[in-house]
Amino acid sequence: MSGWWVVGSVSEAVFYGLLFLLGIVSLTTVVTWRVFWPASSILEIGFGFWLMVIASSSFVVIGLTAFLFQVSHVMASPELRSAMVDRAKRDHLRRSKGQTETAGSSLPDATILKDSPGVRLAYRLAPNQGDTAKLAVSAAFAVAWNAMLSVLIVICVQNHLVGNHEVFLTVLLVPFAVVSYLATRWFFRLFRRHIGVGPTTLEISDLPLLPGNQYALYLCQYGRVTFKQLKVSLACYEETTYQQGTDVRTERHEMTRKVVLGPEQFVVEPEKPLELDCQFTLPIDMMHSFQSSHNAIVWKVVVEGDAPRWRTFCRSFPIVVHPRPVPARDVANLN
Amino acid sequence: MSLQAGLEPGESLEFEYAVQCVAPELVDSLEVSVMWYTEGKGGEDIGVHLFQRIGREDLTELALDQPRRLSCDLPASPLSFEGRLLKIRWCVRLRLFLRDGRELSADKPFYLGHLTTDL
Amino acid sequence: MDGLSSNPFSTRFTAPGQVDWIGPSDFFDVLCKRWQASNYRAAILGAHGSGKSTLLEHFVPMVAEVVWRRDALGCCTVDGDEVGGEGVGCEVEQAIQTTVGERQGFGSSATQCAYWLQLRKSEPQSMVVPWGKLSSASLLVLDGYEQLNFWRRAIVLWRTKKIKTGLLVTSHRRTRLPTLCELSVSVVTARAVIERLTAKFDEGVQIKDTVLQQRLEQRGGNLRDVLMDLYDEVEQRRLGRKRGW
Repeated sequence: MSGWWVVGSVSEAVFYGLLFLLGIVSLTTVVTWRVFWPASSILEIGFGFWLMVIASSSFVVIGLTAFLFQVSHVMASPELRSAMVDRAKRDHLRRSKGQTETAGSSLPDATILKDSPGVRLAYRLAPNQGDTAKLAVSAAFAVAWNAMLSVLIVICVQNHLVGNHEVFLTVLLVPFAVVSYLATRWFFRLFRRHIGVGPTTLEISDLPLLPGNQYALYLCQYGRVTFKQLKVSLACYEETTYQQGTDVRTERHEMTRKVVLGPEQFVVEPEKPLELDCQFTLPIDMMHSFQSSHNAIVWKVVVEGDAPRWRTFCRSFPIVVHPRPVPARDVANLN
Repeated sequence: MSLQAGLEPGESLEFEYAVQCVAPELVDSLEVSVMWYTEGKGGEDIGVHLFQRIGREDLTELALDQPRRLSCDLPASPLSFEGRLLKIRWCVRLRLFLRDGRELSADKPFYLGHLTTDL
Repeated sequence: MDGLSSNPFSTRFTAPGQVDWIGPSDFFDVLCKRWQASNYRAAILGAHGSGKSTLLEHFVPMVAEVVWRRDALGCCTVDGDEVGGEGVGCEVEQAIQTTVGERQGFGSSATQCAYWLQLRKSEPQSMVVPWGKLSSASLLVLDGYEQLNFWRRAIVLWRTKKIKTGLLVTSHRRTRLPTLCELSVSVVTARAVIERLTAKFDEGVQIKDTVLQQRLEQRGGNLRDVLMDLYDEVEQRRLGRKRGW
């Protein structure tokens, strides 16, 4: 990448997206021309035909792969991607050994959180999937819809060229094009926001957390943005699931929140990501994490930022708080 | 039933129970449990820490109206909790199964731990 | 014990089956006669939160023994005991066989064995009906019949008719089955439910009939939602007391 950070990344995504669409259009043209007008002398099956098919297919594959790579590059930092690969390998190893999660406990399992070792501190926390999932969904939808629209446009143009004026298809292209424009705009807005406010990595000194203990946090914020305000908080939520007739609803309530860092003004540069360290101590008497079929108490580290050029962003990282252990004694003396 | 009101994790819970005003020949079985349950807007969940069932044969060994004593060590979690959507409560529950199919039950709540809602 | 008083509008007190049925004294007699007259195939109609599931909780045990039940969250119970997992797995199958077998010589007026399914809005088509267990002596209860698509409903109607099993459903709109009753919530009923819920607690809720009427209208006649709102109000009031407001 060279030049301006955001424009560079967006331009690359646009380039690979267009390459993908070009491949779709040319492949569709070649195939449909042969299928619907076999008697035509244009694009006869032979060396030229197959060369066109191979070239178009390569554009599709290269364009799509590079586009998705570009998107995933924005969604996760290199360290996180590496950790995800390592975690997948460890999950596979664990499953092959037949190790299963403990059942019947009301404490959430911290094993999954501990699967990702940190660089500076013991563990790297995984963010909630909300933000990245939106980008992934918008990318997938925009790619699929534009591909479909390209195919339809090619077929429509070919029909017009041979004098077969399909009015219905032509009219149908209008709303499809509108949806394509909106989907593409939605995707690039999210993409631009992710680039401007890059990935956030958070590491913690120990898991699970215990009341009364002190812990260290390491925050690394990528991107190119000036934060008017950036703060890190520890928040606790009650979550309940209940039936409303045939609906199943989940309700959440923020019980308590404590700011452990900030709010302060920071500047993040692409060559120099923001790195912050902080420490916090948990009170002795606080509620631990809890998980049952219908109810949960969930603890999270929440990173919130307010930047002039970008909308307020909020990223949360689930953690697990266990109760303080009790000394082991004889269990259940019965008379 | 009688027991201490507020307890800490790891402490020993001691209690005794007796069944009165129910003819012993009507009782098929008896269950005693130390358990937690959730209450609030969500569906109810329960967890049993101690469970004892006394069948018909064992009921004859000691008269029902004579106090029976039980004790157990309380676990570290879940602590009693009074939230807005969710409350976690501990209790000792006594359930009588009568021969005509009816069930009678009685709860004696207690508080496990001492929590504040502020960090 | 200080701080351990329950909210009278908690789910454990307002869930279907926990609230007494409010209606005329001969309501269930009339219902049982209609049920027989419908040849044990009928639907209970009503809007959201009008009491359909509550009516099922009171009526079904009167006419059948519930041997298997799956709720909207996928929890299965057999003869009242939770067996876990979704659908009819091996443990559940075995438990049903044992329970039904034990009941062969059970001489009672409620001789139908009821298989009860609560359909989920998100996954209505994945319901697992134990078709192999149904017979002319059983009753299939489907709570949330309108969640099924046209084909599923047709299959249910056809198969239950072929097996000659009883069928009792709840629905928001009319079905091809005879209507057992149509429910709606009035201010009088809502007031009676609230009074029954708060009778055992120190914490009462003072709400005028006009306000209650407004709330019911705002919630589209959904008493369940009104009770959820009252839950929030009670909690808010407690929070205010704690903070000395």
